[in-house]
Amino acid sequence: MFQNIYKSAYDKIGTQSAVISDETIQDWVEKSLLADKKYGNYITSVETGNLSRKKSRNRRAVGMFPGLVTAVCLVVCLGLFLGVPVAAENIPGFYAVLERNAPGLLNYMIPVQEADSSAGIVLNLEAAKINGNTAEILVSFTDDGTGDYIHGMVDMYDSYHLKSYSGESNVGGCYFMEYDEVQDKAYFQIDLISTEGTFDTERMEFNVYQLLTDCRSFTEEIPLENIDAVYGLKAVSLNGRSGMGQENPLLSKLSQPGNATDPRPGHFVMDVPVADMDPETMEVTAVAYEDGLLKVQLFRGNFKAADRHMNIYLQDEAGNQTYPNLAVGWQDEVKGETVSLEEYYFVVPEEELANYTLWGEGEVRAGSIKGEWSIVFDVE
Amino acid sequence: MHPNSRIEQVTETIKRNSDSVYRLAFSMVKTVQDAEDIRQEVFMQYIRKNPAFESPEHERAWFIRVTTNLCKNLWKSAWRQKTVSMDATFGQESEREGRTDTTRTGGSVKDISDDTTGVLAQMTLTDEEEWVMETVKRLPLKYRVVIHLFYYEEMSIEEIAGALKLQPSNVRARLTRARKMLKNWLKEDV
Repeated sequence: MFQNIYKSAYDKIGTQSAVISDETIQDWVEKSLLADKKYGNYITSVETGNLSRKKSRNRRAVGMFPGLVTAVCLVVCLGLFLGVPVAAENIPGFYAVLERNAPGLLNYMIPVQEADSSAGIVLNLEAAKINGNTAEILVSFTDDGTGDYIHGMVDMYDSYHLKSYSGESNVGGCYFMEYDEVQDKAYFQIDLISTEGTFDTERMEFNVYQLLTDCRSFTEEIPLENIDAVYGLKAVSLNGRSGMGQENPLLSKLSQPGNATDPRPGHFVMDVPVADMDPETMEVTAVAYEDGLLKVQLFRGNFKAADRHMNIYLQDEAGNQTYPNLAVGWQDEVKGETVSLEEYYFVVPEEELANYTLWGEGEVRAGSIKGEWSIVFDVE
Repeated sequence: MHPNSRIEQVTETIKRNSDSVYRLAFSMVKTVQDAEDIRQEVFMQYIRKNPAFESPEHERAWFIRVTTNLCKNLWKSAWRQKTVSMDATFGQESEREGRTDTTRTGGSVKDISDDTTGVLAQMTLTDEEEWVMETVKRLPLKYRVVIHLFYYEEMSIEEIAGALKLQPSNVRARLTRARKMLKNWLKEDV
């Protein structure tokens, strides 16, 4: 199905593209070969007339300028038109990333360009700026060619550390800058402050131990089309509850106290089958309106392997957001794995529902990869 | 070789590969103009380098490799990225007013109209075709290439690996990842 549609679309693109005429190809041949001196004779035999005209123009030009001026002009032009692209080709890719994300750092970050590979991923320490007890470091991650892990946002999961002889204790944070799809690199800026004096810039060591490689954020509208669906209720023991409207009678009647065998508070939630769910996903599994409550059940999957959560809210036409009066969370077993579920409750009159759309802002941090990346560097 | 024979050979080779080079370029870049520029540069490189192809497969792989490399080079300049991004925004305003992918799927990762340039509107694409094309364009560059070569050019994983100078396992992993992302966005198996 996908292939048929994709092929059909690109077939149309092929027919839409301009047909290449013989004249166009002739023009390319001329341009390409003119750019290459070694084909000089070849051009002469193919395009004698054009070349003759070019030669006569050249002679006039030489006659109008003194030789020295012409030579200087040539050198300047060559410098401008050849030198700049050549230089640009050798500029490390991180400069473009900095320019897009943190132009203020461009002027003082010092290139380091050291790398270490582990678990199929290369850590590149691109650049750094160390000043007293503060360190700003730009690192990137890319695949080492044996696997395919880096393809978007990644998260270092606070598993990084900067050491120097002056001390190992530092505090700070890291910020995901971007995934540069051309370089196939995910970039981070790390800002650290040493709590034990100034960093020793002659020998520093940067370490990373874990990466989350399947990270994404998304916002999706949750359809309110099937809110007439009727689900039975089942009692679960809660791991947590939150919300500003917990005392509302419509909500409190769903609660029940813990008992001697399980002191956790109990709660009646929609009885939605989850046995066939994939523990590695997050999905809204049910939306229903009943007894003055809009209920939304969210399957969050295996929380030990990944952090998946969603911020659910109602939004009116003016863009005002209404958050749930109550959210409860519990656990279940699916395919041998412990999974996390949540149910959200909005106290909203049925006649007002048409004024709202329901939205979920999701965050997924999955794809944990453990490794030992270590780079020793200096910024002298 | 007589110059006229050479010209004929060049013309035949270019015409033989023109559509596939253009389509591959279009799958990787964001504008029709860029795809046309890439196609021209690919063939000018072919004329300049005059490579000797050992087989039709070798010829195909050479054009794929040069096209993908030139597309990547196009994006290496920060200036270029900014410029094209502005073009894309213009196209979005003029031709795709108000539409985001949430209207189609009920789920959105980002506003895909970032990547449109107006060209799709000029073609007689069905809604389904347009949707699939735009969705594929949301994939990272390295995935778009393997998706295009696998599904459009119908190349095997080994052929793609040969053309892109990658390990077959790497191509397989990219294909799997791309399919997973597409399945998530398109809400159907790929």
